[in-house]
Amino acid sequence: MAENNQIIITIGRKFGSMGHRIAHQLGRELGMDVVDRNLLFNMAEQDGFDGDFLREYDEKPINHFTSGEVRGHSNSIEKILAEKIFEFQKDFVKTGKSVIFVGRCAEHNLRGTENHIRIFITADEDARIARIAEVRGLSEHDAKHLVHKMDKKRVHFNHSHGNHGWGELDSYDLILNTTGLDMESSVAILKNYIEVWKTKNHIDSDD
Amino acid sequence: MILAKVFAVIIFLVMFFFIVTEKFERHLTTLVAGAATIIVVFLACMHSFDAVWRSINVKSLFTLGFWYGGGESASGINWATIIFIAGMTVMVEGMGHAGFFSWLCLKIAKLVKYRTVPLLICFMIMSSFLAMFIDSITVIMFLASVTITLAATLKFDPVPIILAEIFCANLGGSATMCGDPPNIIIGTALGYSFFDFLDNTGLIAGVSLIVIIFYFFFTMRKPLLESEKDRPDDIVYPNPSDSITNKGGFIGAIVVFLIVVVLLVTHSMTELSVATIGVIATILTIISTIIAYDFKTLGEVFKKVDYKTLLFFVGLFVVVSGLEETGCLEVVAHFISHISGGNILVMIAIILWVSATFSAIVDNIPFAATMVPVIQAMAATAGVPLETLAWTLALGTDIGGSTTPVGASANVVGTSLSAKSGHPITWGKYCKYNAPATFIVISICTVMLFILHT
Repeated sequence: MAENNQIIITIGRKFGSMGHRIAHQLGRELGMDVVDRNLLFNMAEQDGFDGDFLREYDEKPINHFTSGEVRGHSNSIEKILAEKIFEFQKDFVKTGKSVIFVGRCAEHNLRGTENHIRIFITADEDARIARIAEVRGLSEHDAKHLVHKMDKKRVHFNHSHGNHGWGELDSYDLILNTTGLDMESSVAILKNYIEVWKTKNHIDSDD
Repeated sequence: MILAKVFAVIIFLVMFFFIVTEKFERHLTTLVAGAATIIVVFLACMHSFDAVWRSINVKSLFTLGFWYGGGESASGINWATIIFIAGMTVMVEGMGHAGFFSWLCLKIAKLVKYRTVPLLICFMIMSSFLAMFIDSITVIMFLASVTITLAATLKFDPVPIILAEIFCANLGGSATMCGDPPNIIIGTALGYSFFDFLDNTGLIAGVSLIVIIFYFFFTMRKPLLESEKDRPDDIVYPNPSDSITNKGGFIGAIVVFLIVVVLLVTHSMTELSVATIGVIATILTIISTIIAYDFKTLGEVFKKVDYKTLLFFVGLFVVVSGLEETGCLEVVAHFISHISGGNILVMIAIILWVSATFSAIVDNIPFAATMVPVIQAMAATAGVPLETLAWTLALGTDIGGSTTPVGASANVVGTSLSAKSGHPITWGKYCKYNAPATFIVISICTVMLFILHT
C-alpha cells in the first residue's frame, strides 16, 4: 500500500517528444527518483540477467510465432523480461517513496495505485522527426523512418502487455504536446500541474 | 457435401491459426471451433444428427469395451485419452506435492557427487525414463527447476543440461503408449498396448537415446567441465530429504505410481483399458492424499490439474471428426498414397519427415489427432500395415517437436523456467544443439523403420 504522501507519476511518451529528458529534469526539480531503463536494468543484472539481453529485448513486443505458453509458463524472452521489469516497478512502489516511472507499461502495471498521476508526453510528428534528426545526426528521411519504427514498437509492446489505452485520451490525467515548447517550459507545466494536484488531493510536499 | 468439406477445412485451419498465434487460450479456440463444426458442418451442411452423436461419442462411455476388453475406439471425441490424461495428471500432481520429483533429482545429483557431466548423463536418462510414464511437461517442470537450483548452488550454467533434458523427455515420451499425448491418441484410437509401443517405438527410442547421450556428452561436456573448475569449496549442498514434505504422502505417492506403472505395463494382459487405469490412478491418489494429508490438500491437488488441456482435447477431437465425417482426411490419405506410389518405404519417409517438420513448428497434438484417420485410410486403401504407419506417425510427431523452442510443450516449459532464472535460451542457442539432435534421431528412426517394418 502506498503511504499517504507517496506520489507515483508514470510518464508514457512518444519517441522524439523529449519525454525521457523531461522526466529526469522533473525528478530533479521535485526531488523524486526516476525509474528508467538504466535503473531497471541494473536491478535485473543483480538478479542474474545479462545486460546485453536486457537492452536487446527492452520494450519489445511478444512474438507469438516464436514463443508459446503452457500452463502459465511462457518462453517469450520479451514477456519474461517485461514481467521482471513490472515486478521491479511494484517493488519500488512498496518502498513508499515518491517516484517517477518512465515508459515500460508502468501506467498499466500500476493502475489502481493510490496517488497515481498518469502523464503522456507527445509532439507533432514533424517536430519529433526534426528533434531526432538533430539529436542523432540523421537525415530527415532516416529520422522519419526511425520515428515510425519506434512508434510502432511502443504501440505493439504496450498492447501485447494489455495496455491497450497507451496514448489514448482517456488513459491519462494529463497529456502534454511539446511541439513549440522547450524542455524547461514542458517541465514547468508538469511541475505546476503536480503541485496543484497535490494541493487538491491534500498531499504534503516532500515526503 | 462439398460445402461441408469446405467449412470443415476452413474451421480447422482457422482453429490452427488461433492456436499458433495464441490470440485466445487454446481450449477456448478448440471449443468454439468444435461448436462451429457441430452447428455449421454437421447440422447446417450435412443435416446429420448422427454425425453430431458420433463426434460427441458419449455412447462409448457406456460400453463395456471402453473400460475392459480393449479394442479400437470409435471416431469423435477420444474420451479414453481425456480420462487417462486426467487420471495421470491427478496422480502426478499428488507425487509433485509430496516432493517425489525434487527428491529423486537431488538424490541422483548426490549419488554422482554433484559432478556436472555425470549429472548431465543421469538427468538425461532420468528425463527419458520418467517421460515414458508421466507427461513430459511435468517431467521438465521438476527436472529443470532442480537443475536451475543446483546450477545456482554449484555455479554452473544450467542451459546445456536443460536442453538435453528437454530432448530426452520428448524422446522418452515416444517410447510408450502413455508418454506423449500423440502416442496416447494413437494407442487408444487404434487399440495398441503399452508393449506394442515399447516393442516398436520403444526399441527405436532406446537406440536413439544411446546415440543422443553421446551427442550431448560431446557437445556439452566442455562448458560444464569448465564451470566445475570455478566451484567454490564452501558450498552447502541441498539435502534430498528436505524435499519430502510429508513422509506418509511421499510413500503413498510412490506406491500409487508403482501400481499404475504395473497396470500400464500389464494392461494388454489384464484387458483394463487406459481409461480405467486413469480412473484407478485418480482413486488411489485421492485415498493416499486423504490418509497422508487432508481434504484441503486433496483440493489443492485437484486445483492444479490442467482442465484447460482436457477441454482443448474435447474441442480438437470434434473438429477432427468434422474433417473425418466429410471425407477430407480420405483425400489426404489418397494423396499421400498416390505420391508414394503405394511404396511403403516412401510412405514411411513422407509421414516421418513431414510429421517431424510440422511438429517442429506447430503443436503436435492436433497434427497427430488429424493424422490418425489419415493413416487408417491409407492402411485400408494401400494395403500397408497400419501399425507401421502408427509407429512412424508417433515417432515423427513426438521427436520432431524437439527441433525448436515451440515444437513441444516440454520445450516451452523448460526454456521458460530457464529464462525466468536469468538464463534465456534464444532460438539460435536452442536450435544449435537440439535441431541437429532431432535430425540424427529422425534419421535413426528412418533407417530402423525401414529395416524392421519392411
